[in-house]
Amino acid sequence: MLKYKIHILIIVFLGIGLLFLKSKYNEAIPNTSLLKTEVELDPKSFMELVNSTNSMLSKELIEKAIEIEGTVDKVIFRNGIASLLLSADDTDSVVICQMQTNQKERVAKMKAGDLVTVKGIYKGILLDAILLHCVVENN
Amino acid sequence: MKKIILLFCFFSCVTWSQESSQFFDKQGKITFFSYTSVENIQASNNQVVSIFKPSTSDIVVRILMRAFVFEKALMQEHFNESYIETDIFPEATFVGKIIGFDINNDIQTKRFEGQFTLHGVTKNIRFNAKILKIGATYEISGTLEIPVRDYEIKIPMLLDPNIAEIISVNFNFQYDLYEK
Repeated sequence: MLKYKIHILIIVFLGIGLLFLKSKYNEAIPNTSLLKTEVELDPKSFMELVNSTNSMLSKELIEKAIEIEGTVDKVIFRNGIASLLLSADDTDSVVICQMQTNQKERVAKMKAGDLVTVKGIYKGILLDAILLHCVVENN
Repeated sequence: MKKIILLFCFFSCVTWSQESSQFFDKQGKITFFSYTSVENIQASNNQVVSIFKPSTSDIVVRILMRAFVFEKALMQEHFNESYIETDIFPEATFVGKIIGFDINNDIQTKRFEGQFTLHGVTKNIRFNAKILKIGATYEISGTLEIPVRDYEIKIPMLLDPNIAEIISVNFNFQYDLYEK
């Protein structure tokens, strides 16, 4: 009888474990609004930070939620995705914020010159700094 | 007559300057697909940078590997941390040429040849792609296949059945004239 109960318990625990693994495996990308902001900067300071010779500092920000307050340089809708380009004043580079899909309507109302605060996940830098899954915090 | 000659000179200059110019896209799209009987995986990157120079047929593509977006968070984590090791190899690049590119043809499908670097491994690749000239812009789109093993991407044995041996890659670039 005891042996039978132990077998039942093992099966139950295995079942719970498998369900946990399945839910973990199917977890969607988290909503950026709910993530803790790592740093708040303007586009120029952010570009200086990620372009700085201290690459460790720049690397530490990768995959972190960053809040940027700046002026909209361009609003782009392409391939069904909305992006905001925030100008960094005297440099050619901009901060590209690829918006979360639920932000399309808010972004559609924006135009160049608007002051905006966006929060996004910093992914790295090519010519411009790239933030994905961005949300508008206020404008 | 003078006006016609002036007009001809103007359009010749415009055409010449476009031919010797570079075209630029900083939000190109690359999507890859892995089809297996266990699971289909798809991810897109909409922040791909590319420069195209019609006069020399040169083309360069830079891909920030972390900018691929997956449906599932864990897939994205595995891709970045275990397979591509994006901390060590943050970018993939293609540097190549379009073979037989005709600057005067508005629609053409041509062979692309060049060096593709992924996960720190560089291989010569070739593929076909469609080139459209739309006014003063260009669009290049196509598909290529990337064998995972060629680029020393290690897949854990447990997940081996979930990931295809050959990954199908779709790309689309919309180039504007690059003004310095």
